[in-house]
Amino acid sequence: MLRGALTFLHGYAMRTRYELGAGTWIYLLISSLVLVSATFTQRNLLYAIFGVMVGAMVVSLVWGWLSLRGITIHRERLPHAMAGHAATLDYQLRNTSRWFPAFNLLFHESWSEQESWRWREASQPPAPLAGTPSGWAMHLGPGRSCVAQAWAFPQRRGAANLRAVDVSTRFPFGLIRISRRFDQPAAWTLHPTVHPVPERVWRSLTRLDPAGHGRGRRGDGGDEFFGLRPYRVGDSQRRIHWRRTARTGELVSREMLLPTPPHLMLRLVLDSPIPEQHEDAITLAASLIVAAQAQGYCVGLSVRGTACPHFSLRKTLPHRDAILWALAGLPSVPSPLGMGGLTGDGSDATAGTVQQKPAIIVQSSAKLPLTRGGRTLVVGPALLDEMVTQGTSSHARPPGAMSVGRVIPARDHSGLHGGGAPLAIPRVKGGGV
Amino acid sequence: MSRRPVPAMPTLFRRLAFAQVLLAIGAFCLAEGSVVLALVAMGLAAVAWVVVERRGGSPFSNRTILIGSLLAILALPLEILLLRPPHIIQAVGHFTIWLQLLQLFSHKGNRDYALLLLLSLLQMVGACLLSESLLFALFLLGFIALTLVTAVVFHFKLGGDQVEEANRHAAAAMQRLMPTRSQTIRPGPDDATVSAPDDQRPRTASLRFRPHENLGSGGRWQLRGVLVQLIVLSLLVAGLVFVVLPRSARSAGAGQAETPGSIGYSRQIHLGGPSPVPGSRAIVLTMTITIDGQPIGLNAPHSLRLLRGAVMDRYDPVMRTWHASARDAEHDVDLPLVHDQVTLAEWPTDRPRVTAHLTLRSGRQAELFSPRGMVALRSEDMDRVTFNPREQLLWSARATERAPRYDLTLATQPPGDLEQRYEAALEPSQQLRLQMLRRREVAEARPEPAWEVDAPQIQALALAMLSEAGFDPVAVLQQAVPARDVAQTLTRSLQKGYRYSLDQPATPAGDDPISHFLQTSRAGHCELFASGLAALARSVGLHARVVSGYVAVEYNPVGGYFTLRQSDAHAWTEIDCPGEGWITFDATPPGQLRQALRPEGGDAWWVSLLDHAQFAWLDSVIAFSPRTQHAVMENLGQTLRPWPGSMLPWRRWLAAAGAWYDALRLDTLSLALLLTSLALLLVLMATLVRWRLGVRWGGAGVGSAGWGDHRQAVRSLRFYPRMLRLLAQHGHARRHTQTPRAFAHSLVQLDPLRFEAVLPLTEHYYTLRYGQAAMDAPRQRAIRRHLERLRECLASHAG
Repeated sequence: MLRGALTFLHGYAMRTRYELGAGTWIYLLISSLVLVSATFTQRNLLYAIFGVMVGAMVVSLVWGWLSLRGITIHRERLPHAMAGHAATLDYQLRNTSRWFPAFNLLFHESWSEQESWRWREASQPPAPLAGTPSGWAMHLGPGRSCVAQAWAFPQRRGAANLRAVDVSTRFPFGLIRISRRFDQPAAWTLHPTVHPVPERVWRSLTRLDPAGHGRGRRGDGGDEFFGLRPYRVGDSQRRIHWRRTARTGELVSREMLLPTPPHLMLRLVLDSPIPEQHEDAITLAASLIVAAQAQGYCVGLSVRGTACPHFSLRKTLPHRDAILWALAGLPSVPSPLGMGGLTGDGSDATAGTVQQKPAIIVQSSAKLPLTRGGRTLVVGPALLDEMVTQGTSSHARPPGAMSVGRVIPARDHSGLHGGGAPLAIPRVKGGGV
Repeated sequence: MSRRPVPAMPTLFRRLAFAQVLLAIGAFCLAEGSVVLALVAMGLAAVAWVVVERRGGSPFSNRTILIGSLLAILALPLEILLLRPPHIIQAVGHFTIWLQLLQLFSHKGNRDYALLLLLSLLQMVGACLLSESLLFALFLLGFIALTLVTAVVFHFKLGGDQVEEANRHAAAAMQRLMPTRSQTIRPGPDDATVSAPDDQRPRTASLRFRPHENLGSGGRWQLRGVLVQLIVLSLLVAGLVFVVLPRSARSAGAGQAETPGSIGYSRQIHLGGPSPVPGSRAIVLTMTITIDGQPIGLNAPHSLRLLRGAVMDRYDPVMRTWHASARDAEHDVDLPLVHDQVTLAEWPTDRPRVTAHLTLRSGRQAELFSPRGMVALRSEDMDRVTFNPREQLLWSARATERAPRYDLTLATQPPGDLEQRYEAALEPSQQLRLQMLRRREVAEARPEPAWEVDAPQIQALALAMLSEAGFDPVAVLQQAVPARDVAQTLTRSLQKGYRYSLDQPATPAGDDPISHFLQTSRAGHCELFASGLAALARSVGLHARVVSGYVAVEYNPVGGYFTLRQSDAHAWTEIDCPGEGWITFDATPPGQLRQALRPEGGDAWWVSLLDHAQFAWLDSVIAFSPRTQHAVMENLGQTLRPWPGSMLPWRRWLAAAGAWYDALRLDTLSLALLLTSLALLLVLMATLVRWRLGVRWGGAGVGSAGWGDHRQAVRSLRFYPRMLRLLAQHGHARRHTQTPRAFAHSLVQLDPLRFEAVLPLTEHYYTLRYGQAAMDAPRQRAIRRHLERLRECLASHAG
């Protein structure tokens, strides 16, 4: 009931714990030895030293409790994070005490699988976070607040169920660790790892040049001249190319250029029973999605092999994050129900709706990095190795690393700054993006 | 094998750790009295600081440290067994010193520093077993304070390192799981294992303890204040634990270094040689004399300032030596100890109660110093007390080596039946034995006083002195004159007609020293005066003996007690007056004696303060005993005890307030007026305080600054409230809604010439308040000039 009242007052429940470390036990052992020596020798100076040691212990207990009594911590909005890249968590620390400053505040996250992640068997997937996000605030005066950061190290995609934030202090002498736990449950979605797509790989997948030219175009509309065509009813008289009309004797109209936004419809086929290939396929899909979106493509995704919502073609950043969020939520273990392979033309037979034909199919069971399937490219996890190799040689930075979901200059997302020749793989005629 | 990276230690912590180690080593050397060891250890520590801790320093290799440790381990049993068998503590202390020095030369991580601090603590514990001097106490106090500060700083550092290590391990664990895919993984320059990439490595630099970087000025001030509070609180709790912890009756001994080589006086007085050399300035004991609880200083009677050490009743004219004869052991009785107290006689309550508190500085002295006329003795340092009522002497047997303390109850004017009173305090069996002895003495008649020197000249001299005072020599020889009067007359004659001197040559061969002093030289030291009075008294038929001991002439006004040193050794005379017992007579001229014993500079306040500090240290800490503990606890209990009945203190205060109110006899109206007046007074005071604070701080607009910043900002921005006050006096007050800049512009628009100085002053205010600029001398001069200009403009306009 009391805990409920505290939860109502603070917005979260608090628990206070007192812990003694190994150093404290050594300290107590030495104190006991000093006491035994004092009792044996009846030296008052030894009694005095023992008194000081007890005084330090008592003061540690009282002062630590007083300084931690007014501390509250609140986790700020969870940032986007991806596996393999460190992320920062922001916390707002507040000292509500009017008199006692707080020093040396350590805080760390407590998450659901934390207790068992060290004892996890090798066959099980790793825990979402490596270690515990920990932070440190050296000083917080009475009545003050500050924002402190803690580093988190996601090591796989998925959801990290953050449970509580522990704030502790060993002030003043490091003897007693007094901690308070603030229950603040939250689910933190960790996106799949996103690797940069080197220029050579990107050029192999698309028909664009490094400068971004050659985008998909279609006529009619716009201000730029595109070509001539026979007159159609409804064409404006200003569009009629009179010279050609006079020369040929038939009405010929000018067709103006209408830029078509490039798009990438990606299909992820999770048909490999091998977990590594399963994860690599998801990582590859996420990398391609992020790279394409950074290039200004409309991106869409459909997943075959497991339950996942369909994402139509859009270009916005929230759309991309929604795709990444969906990829993060895919199961770690391949589902045996979904391992059926592709249909003949690559269309999705599982969905009951008519969907756009995919341009790239990421197939987890594909052996080759890149194969041609009609107008569709089929890429496999082996392409990820090519990307990593190319990216390492070109020292490319991961697109969107540490900044997923934020406004980032296009050059940081392009992944086109690297050099080198494109991959020696067959170019898809008329297909691709 | 790759070495685990050790984070760089902050300079502050390294300095503190070094200082703590050096302090512990120095304290141990001080306690041991080994100057050479101290010099060697300090020199090596200084070399270690230069070699290891400076920038780019090179610590010794692990192999060198290991070899040094093995040598130290081998030297430990050798020193214990061969060199100094009885001094195990010293040997272990030397071993600890070498270990610490080796550690100073090594490459140190957090655990190494923790071990180093632990060793220094053990070193200081060992030193506590060797010394109890005040200087060592100062070392100990400094060590405690430094240790607490070092612990705080170390704990700060550990906090940052803990987060840094956790992040480092988590980053490594994260990258171990995806070594083939994360192309950004590269081995770090300082880590053999996989470390975090540069862009993912936590910014651990901000986690290091750098007070000047991590803490603002306000934080630093708060930390300093908290440190002081922590030290004070720790010492308070330590004092409480020190008092409360139970002590056993078996007491502790003082260190050998504090035991004086001689006690100053002698149990045999040898006359005839040159004047004795005064003893050293070492303090033997301190004595506090009180009358009815009120301490008295130099106004104390002279007889109370004489502490008896040895009684000599036989003079050997051949050896020219006073010594104690074979005492009549039949009269010795063991006094019963009841609660560490011996009561020799019940004292009438209508007489002033004189007490003397004696605290000896050394536990090696077995003498029981006592002024004459003692009726009660209390000390927990006595195992057995033997009393001779006939001789009125006390002996004490002690099994303790602790500096003993005695509480004596004295009689300023001992009654004549003191011997009977003493006997009345004895057990019935002892009383019966003493009565039988007395009856036998009466039957056998009391022996005549023995005088070993057959010198008619001395008797003639005594009779001449008495005749000069108006006594009839025949009556004196027939014992018809009271012995006290005779003794007093002889004493006064010696004090007036003889001179105290410590520069007298040796007595010529063949002459008796006492006769030579009385008849020829008429000058001498205190032993000659005491011997001369004894000889004069014995020559007229009185029992007289010489007593050696101390005389209290040095009064410490800070502590309110007498300090007795070895140089205060003295000798005087006791004469047995029939019906009164042994009475003390000091024939040495008191003025000359005081002048001779008074130390140069002894009146200096700081000397008294230093002596009192030593006394307080020894009396309060070193000699803290179960009785002291009981007294402290009793006083504490009386302070906290509800009074009366079960009333709590606040109820007591409430009752006192009620009684005060009843005494005032206020009616309701008067009470209402009084309360209203009090409330108005409080409101007025609060308003005044708030106004003052508002003027001092609020006007400067630095309310949001930290505490430390606040003081500095207020100091530098003091000119702005001054300007505001100046303007307000001329009717231009700033509204609360106006910013300083808006206020300045409004004034300038009103009258540009008159308020032209406001704008630069406001700019200075902004620059200092928000621009982090410093208040340097040119700026101060400019501000002063602008203020003067503003004052002149305002005054001219007003005129």
